[in-house]
Amino acid sequence: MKEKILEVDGLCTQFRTERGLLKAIDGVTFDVYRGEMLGIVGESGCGKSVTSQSILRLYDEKRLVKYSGEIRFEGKNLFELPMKQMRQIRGEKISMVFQDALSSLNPVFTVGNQIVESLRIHRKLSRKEAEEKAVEMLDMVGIPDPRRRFYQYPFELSGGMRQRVMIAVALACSPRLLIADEPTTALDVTIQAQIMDLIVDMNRRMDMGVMLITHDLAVVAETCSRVIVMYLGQIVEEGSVDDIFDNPAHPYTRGLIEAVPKMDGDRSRRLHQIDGTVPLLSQIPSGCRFAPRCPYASERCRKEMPELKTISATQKVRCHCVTEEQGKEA
Amino acid sequence: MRDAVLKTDLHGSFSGGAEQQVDMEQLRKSLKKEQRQIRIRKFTKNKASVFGLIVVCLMIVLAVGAPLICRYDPLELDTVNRLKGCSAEHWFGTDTMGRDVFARVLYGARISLTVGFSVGISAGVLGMIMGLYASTNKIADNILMRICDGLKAIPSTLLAITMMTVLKADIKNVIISLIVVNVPSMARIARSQAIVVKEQTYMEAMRGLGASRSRMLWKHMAPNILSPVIVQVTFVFASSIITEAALSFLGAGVPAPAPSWGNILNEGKGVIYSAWWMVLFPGIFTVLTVLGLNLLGDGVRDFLDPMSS
Amino acid sequence: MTEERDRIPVLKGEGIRKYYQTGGSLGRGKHFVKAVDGVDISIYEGEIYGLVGETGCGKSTLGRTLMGLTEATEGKIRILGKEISGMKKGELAGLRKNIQMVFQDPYTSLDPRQKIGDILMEALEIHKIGTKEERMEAALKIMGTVGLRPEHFYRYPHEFSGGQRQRVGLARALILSPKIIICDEPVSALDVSIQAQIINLLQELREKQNISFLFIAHDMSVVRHVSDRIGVMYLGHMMEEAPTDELFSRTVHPYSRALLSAVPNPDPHQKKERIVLKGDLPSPLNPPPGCVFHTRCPYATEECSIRRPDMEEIAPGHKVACLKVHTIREGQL
Repeated sequence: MKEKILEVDGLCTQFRTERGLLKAIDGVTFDVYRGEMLGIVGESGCGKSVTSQSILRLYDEKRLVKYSGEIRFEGKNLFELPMKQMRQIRGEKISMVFQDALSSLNPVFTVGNQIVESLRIHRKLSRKEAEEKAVEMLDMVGIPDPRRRFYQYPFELSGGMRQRVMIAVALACSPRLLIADEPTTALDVTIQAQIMDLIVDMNRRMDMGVMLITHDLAVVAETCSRVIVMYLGQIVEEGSVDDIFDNPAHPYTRGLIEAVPKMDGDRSRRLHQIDGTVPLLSQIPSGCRFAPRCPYASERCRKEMPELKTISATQKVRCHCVTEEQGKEA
Repeated sequence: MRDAVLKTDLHGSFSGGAEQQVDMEQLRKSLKKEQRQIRIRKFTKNKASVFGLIVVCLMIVLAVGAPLICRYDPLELDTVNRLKGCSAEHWFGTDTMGRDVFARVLYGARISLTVGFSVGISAGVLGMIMGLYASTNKIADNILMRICDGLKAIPSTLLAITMMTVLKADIKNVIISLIVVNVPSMARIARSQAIVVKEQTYMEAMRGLGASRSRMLWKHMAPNILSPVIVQVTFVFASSIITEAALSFLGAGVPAPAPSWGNILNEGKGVIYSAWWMVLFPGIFTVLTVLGLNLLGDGVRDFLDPMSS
Repeated sequence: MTEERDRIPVLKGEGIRKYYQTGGSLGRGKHFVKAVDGVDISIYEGEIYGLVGETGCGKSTLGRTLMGLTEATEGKIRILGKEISGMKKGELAGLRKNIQMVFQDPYTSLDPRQKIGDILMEALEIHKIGTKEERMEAALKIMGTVGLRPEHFYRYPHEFSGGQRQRVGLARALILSPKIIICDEPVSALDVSIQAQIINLLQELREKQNISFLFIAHDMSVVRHVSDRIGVMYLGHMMEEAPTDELFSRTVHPYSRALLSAVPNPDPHQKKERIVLKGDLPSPLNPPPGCVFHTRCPYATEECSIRRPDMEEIAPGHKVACLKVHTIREGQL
């Protein structure tokens, strides 16, 4: 195995609300290795974005959240770092690409200046050097005519171009970890394909770890090597892409995969549907969180919360029924 | 029926529900109660607006119950007891003509609250009508909004004074001139909110169902622009109490013997060093009422909004 | 699908154009955004017609024009075989009842200050159907049809999840018993598991009530799953139209090919060749002359930049607007 660059250990993120603490993330543990693409999948409210924001400690800790657990990056627990050092890590060692490129770029600065700024915060570069490097970055993310684009404002670019600029800003300081939070959700399929190709290409060229957060299983299947499936603030399944797509063990993972229409699927069949809806965080069921929507749920599932157990060298799953079911399949 | 067939085909947590016999009337009542409780809880959670409500209610009680509370007639002269300080006889002292200041302040509350209430409600309704029409009709928009711009260009107190010098000085005309002064800002707020609401998909959905223009305006747009208008109404309520006081203070408001907070202040300004009570008490009442109304505004908005915060 | 040509479509648009004027209120610098520029479309009874294309291709505008939410700049619309232009207001309103719409965003498409029951009864009230009790009964029945419980009748929209709200939106469209429902991206704001619930519900409605759907979406795999026929739009023009299986097995138009090749596949073992289009989508303010796609088309020749191709039927029900259609079909390109 390659070296671990990020270790998340028992992460809990609780939001302070009027009715007390609300646990959005409940004991999430995973590692990110150098040079890998890790997909984090789940539906809205599953905590995949909160996880990524927690890694960078982006929430207001005084008023909004309470963190517990550990996030180790380069041997340091990020939760113990003073804010000043945390700011140095953000953007330089760990950077982030958001879904909405238009609101994530500052509308009153040219795109070139935003890359220059990111460079000058973290690297001791002269203005001239930073500009050279910025043009180089724009060229690298596939923006045609980078010298002219340097002086354009975000609103002058198309959605795909803006997302490329966002990636250029994020990669300017050669981070060790890139967190991409739904980077292509707002884009059309043809543009989405280009942006995902770019992220995969950058991941190979810069040998950095990439955490791809998305609800789109197809994108994960095409690009990632490892996948984490989340439901209601917990990891329900973790494994290699082949594990997850060929041999999904958790009923939720299976439901998700089957609910997506396939391009070569049988059109006369009804889509598999997961009944019910994701409960609110304030109404989390006791026992297995998926039990109320699970077709296999037993009395035990409703009472006792299953642990995340290892079922093969690469695969972990949080389900009481998993061993029996695997027997069935074999 | 086709629906009966379909029902059985819908799986999951939704199925079965439709067959259940539910007493709709009872359901309606229990949900209405529940929703009212949620609203009240939301309102009471905001301590400032609860305080505002208490203050405003207290003022209304004092104003309405003035004849029962006061031992003196606010207009009754008592030249022997001129400019007496606070005592058990006269809680707030007496004024330059020996009238009981406590009685005058309470009766003054009647005038001030009447003015504030009438101006707030009328300006709110007029502003909403203007704003709604302006948002849907381009010509009406241009005419109404240019008039509003013109009126807003003149300082509001100045405008009110000018109108009062032209009109006869009485309470009705004070109200009219204050409405004229306050409608423009109200119309602006209603219009800007109406423009936002007009672009919402549900308005388009209503159009798709074939809804008429007036139904869309009054049934769908009006309730959805109400929140900011209500907040503005409480502000206008408060500010017209102040403007009325200012007008009376300048001698352009409610004519002299009738007590209004402004009048009392006006009479008190000459003797402020010897009879501080003539200025202090109407001043406190004015400030408290205005503060109470402003605090109340936010609470009322939360109360009317079905969405939980 | 051949026999369908003899049938009367429930909804037909001929040569639909919708131009929006921009800039220059004083007549200077007046421009037109050609959102839809001459599209023919027919939807038959009981079919689901999928309309696909990227952002800004005019698919939503076409839907809204057919729905009557905006007036077409040019073109004829026929509902149930009747031409609507020049029709009297009352008659038109009666005919329009047969087309209803489901919107993309389940959060903004319901009036936040109306209870679910009132939202549903409103449609009947507008058309003065039934007494108050009958309306309530109809609303409750339709709620059952879309999988909502009677307890939801007095609830406000904000108390529901996105999927449930979309059910309300569907119920509102269904309550007037329309012949056709225009769905503008009805599932793209929903989660995967909820998306499947709504898609299954649409298909059930089609089978049980024989309602036709115009299903506008950008997700090719969803459109493939639900539709009987599919139209591909690009920059206000229809590029290709064919029965679903025909379109996916024998894609002809270079744009459709590129669009299909970009769709990610939820199967990690199938990696396919991707056709990457060069350049950006041209502005609809100033669309290219000739074939609108020629600026990005890998097969474009000089002819393509001069002459605009017409829709040509190359197989039963399969129409393509491309000058190079025969060379492409013979496999020379």
